[in-house]
Amino acid sequence: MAVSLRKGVSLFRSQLCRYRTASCICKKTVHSSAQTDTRDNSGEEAQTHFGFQTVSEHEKAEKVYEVFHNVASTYDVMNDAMSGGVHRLWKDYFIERLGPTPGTTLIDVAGGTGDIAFRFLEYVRNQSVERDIQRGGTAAKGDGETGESLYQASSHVTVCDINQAMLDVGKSKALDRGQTAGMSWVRGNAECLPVGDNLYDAYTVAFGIRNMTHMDAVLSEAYRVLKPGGRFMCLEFSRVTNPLFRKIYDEYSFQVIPVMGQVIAADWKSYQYLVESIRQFPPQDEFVDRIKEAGFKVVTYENLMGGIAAIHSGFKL
Amino acid sequence: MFPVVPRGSEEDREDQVRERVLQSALNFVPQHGWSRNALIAGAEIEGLPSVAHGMFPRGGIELVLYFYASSNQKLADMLAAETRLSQDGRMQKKSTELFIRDALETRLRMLIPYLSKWPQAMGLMSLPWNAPEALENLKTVVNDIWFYAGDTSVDLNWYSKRVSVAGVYKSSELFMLQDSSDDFRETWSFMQRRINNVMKLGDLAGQMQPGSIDGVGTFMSGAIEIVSYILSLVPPSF
Repeated sequence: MAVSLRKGVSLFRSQLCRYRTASCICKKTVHSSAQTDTRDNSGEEAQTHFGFQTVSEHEKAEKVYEVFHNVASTYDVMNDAMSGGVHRLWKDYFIERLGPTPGTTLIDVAGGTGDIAFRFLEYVRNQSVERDIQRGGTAAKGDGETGESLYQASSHVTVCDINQAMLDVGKSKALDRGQTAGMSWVRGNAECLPVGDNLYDAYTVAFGIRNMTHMDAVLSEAYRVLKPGGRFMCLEFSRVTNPLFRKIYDEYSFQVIPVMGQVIAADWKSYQYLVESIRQFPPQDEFVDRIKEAGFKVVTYENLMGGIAAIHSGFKL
Repeated sequence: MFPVVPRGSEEDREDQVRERVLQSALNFVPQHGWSRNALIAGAEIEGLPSVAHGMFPRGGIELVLYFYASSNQKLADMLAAETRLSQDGRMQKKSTELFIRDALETRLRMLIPYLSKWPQAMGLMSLPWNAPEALENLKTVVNDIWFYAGDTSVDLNWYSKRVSVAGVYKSSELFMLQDSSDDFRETWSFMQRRINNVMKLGDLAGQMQPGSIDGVGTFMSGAIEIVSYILSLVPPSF
């Protein structure tokens, strides 16, 4: 039974993975994330964690899919409610740290609702207006054409998410904003991205990587699709360093957030998973090591709000 | 494609890439200032995507500190070569005063290509969180100059010598910013006068005998006058 299921999963994977290359590690599934995965020799499906539960790997993928399918419609409202709006500041800061310029190409993975993508385009648009002003002020004279066309012509963001429901939310937001140029929406698995090698200047993943089953596969894929010199950036919940603050934060997470989920989104379980999955994610330094193992250089991280979230960064050199 | 550096450890390679970006970015300082934009332009020239500026998360100050440190290194190499020549007897040994004067001029001349943006760099360096590194760099310049000038003191003079040369350097640097004379002639003569001040201070100190109080008054008034010149508290007479 387990074997046939796994065959099904790998069939599904190979269909997604059109750009199978030497560096694409779709086949190398389990042994890489040694901490959690223990495949025994009898061919049983490897185990991993889903929040605090131990589940088989394909089960995790399904459960994560279900969670995000359920929360997609209330995703933005819940983010605001849980973080008091702070997640917006984090994402703004995240893009500011990336500092893209007109012409930058970005792939935003697990970015279905477009939070990072819209901020990226907005930031680049402001940059190109600024550059125009410096170049002699066509934009300053009220003729925004030059800046607009420059940014439309070259900057591009590919939003990739495994979950169609999340992508749909993002697409409808794009329609509301009248934002069509410079964006494309792709459904795909981060462990096997449906794009070619060396294509992107930057790879971002915001609050997504902790839900992925094989983090090392995700990181290697990030490395593969980036251009040489390109930057990997990850915004993710992390470990609060101050013990006192951690206590308060834990209380808030476990006592308040699931209740909020129930009240606002009528969904306790998904938010229970959220707070549990945050605790399962490796702390800052350990994650740095994982990023380095994938081949990235100049790997650094920066804590936000005492480590509630952290920005990790690395370069393909 | 990005050229592959064949030898050296991975960290060496990281440093080499970073250094190449910084070196190229310096060419854009006159245009963009000591800023992220200069780093972006430098990264692009080196064939990297613009987002590679993220290797320098502190932005413009990293460029300033790199420029400062690499100029210090250049000066140290030149002074070492000069010292070797005079030790071999292939060049006449300069007096300490002249040696220091020439070294300071050489170092200040390195600022000329960036002079229009140098006030910005000084501003960045004086920010409290950048000041320790900036001071460290200043310390390196004066230390190198005294080292190659053959200073072997191990007493309090060690400090006073370094402080006084640092004072001459910083005040001449400030003077240079607003100097519009040919080839910065005014700056060099300003610097010479500050060096004369320092020498006078040294002479006065030399006249002080242990146990004597006769010279104390003269010494103190002279010293205060000179220190305030050096610190530019009082406009020096031209």
